[in-house]
Amino acid sequence: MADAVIQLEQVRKAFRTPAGEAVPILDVERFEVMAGEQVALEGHSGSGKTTLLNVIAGIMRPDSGRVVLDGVDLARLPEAARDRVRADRLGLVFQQFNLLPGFTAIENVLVAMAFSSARPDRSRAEALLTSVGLGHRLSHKPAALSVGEQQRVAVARALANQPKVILADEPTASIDPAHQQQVVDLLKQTCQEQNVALVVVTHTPEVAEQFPRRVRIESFNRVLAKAASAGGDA
Amino acid sequence: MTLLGIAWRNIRQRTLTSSLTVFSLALGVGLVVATLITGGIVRQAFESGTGLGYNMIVGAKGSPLQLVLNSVYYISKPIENISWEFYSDFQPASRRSDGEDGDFASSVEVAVPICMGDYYRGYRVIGTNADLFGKLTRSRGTPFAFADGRNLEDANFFEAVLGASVAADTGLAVGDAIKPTHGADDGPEHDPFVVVGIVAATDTPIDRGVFVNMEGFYLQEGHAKPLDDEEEEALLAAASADAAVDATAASDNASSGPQPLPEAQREVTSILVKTASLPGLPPELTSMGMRTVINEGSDGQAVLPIGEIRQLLDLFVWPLERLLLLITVLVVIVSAVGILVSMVGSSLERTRDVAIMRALGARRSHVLLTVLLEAVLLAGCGGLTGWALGHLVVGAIGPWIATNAGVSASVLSAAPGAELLLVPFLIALAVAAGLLPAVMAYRTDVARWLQRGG
Repeated sequence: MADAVIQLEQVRKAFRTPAGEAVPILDVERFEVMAGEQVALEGHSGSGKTTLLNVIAGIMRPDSGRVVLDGVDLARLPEAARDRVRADRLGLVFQQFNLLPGFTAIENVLVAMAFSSARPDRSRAEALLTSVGLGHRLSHKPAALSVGEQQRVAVARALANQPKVILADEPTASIDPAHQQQVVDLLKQTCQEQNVALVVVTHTPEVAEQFPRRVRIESFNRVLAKAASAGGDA
Repeated sequence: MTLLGIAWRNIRQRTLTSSLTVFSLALGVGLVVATLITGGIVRQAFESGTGLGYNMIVGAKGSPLQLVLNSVYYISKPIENISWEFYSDFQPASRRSDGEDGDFASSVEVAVPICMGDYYRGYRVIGTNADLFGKLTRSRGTPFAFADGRNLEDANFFEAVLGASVAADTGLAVGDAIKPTHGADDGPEHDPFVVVGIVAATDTPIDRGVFVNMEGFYLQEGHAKPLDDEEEEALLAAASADAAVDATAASDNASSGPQPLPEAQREVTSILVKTASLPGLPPELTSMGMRTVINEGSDGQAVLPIGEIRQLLDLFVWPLERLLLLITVLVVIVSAVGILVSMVGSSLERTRDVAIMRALGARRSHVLLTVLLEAVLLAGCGGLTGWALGHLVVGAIGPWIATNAGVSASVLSAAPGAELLLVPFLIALAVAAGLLPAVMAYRTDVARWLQRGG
């Protein structure tokens, strides 16, 4: 049986309002993703999906609980160490691709390498872009690339440091249906080839149903259940 | 890709803003460099006067500084003239009409007369003798050299030697004749003097002088001292042979050429004195003692040019140089504020990029360093461009400096120590200017940005 690359145990996270009141957003008893597993995480807007991804990525620290990424408990680490773990072991794909506009396609991939423990490797960056069909667009800046091409650069960038996990936050939300399928296929195929676990946050059922495991955040975020039972809105 | 590469890419991303920032900084740095170099050149011009092989100037009583400015740099007006009799006190028996050593002769190695009052195309004409280029030195022991021709000969009254800048500016060559004017550029013309030599460039005030044989100088209209009745009678009574100056050569010349001016009608503006080393005493002590004796008398004053030049530098040149430098440094600081404004102005755009990089694993220190590197790179580009600009400015005004200050200045002229100090100064300035935007970037809240943007 494969080991878990993401493990959340008793994770709680609340935001503070300007008045100082704590508003709970996450209360997860247990959530796991196995190595190489591909998961679609569904939930409505405001259900805490992005917060969950931020906690898994080490961008946010939970108020309590354990967040284990590839064997490292991020919740116990200071910010700089969490940044290092994120650079070395995690790939992120954002909703709006978020490529650096002043950098070429290959530089966008090389930038991700600059922050990891490994040395920036131009030939690997070229190979990654070639593998997503952009071998001929290496020196183009994002503005000169189509939406689909930009998303492929984002996928290549997420794979730059040979991560164990890729987290994709609504990667198809900003693109037309024709390109949505291309992005999903690309993510699934690439992660499968490289045995990288993939967690895709989506609110599009057509996207979610293509993944072997579909999880609704309401099923493990107890904040939502409590809010529902109290008649409130999470 | 390194952090330096990322910083450079950030700069190129904002080409127009970055170029304008670099340009404004380059102007400031260019001014500083040009000021430093020209300041050094001015200092060199003044200090060059301290190594001309004499350690004392004797002239009429008055301002010591004026005597130095006039005798060493050929600027300012002469104070007054001193008598030939007083000048003769510094001459050995062989150069005196009475055949006896002068009062100071034993303490003097060489005493060169300087007579002023004429001009040639804006340059000072100095009446002197062959000892100026024959016995004094161009800089701390190095003899004068002639780029063309030869030194003055005391027996040939109407010869002239030109400084290097004068020759370059006027285009005069050996064999040409010049006619000095009396009192001013537009004064009455004197008899012609034939150029017999051009002194090789010395980077000293000598380069800006026209030197003529003192005997010829004395024979020009308005140069003979007026005599009162008693003196005139005494002069008429004396034999013309007794009135011959000093040199044997001059006596030979007198039989076939113009007669030298009688001693009673002669004066000199000043005397450049190289003191002798008396047994058991260094030359400095000789000069100090002689200066005291001269200054206590009524015939004239003696000044030590090094002391006066140092005082001149301390009183005028250095304060002016520091003031100029302060102004230009302020210009650079204003330019550095331009870096700050430019970088803060692009902070919104930067926030997005910083958030992306932080999400990709960049640590806060990476972000801080990248922004600071960006500021340093901008300062570096501005500094380098300004440095080149400063040298180009000096190169452009080089001919003017060479003509007016007698010091060569070119693109390659430098103030190495001060220019080198600019490097840490600019880095410190860049870090100071980049600190605020760097801290802003450092404090970027990635999670908030991702919640909003993603």
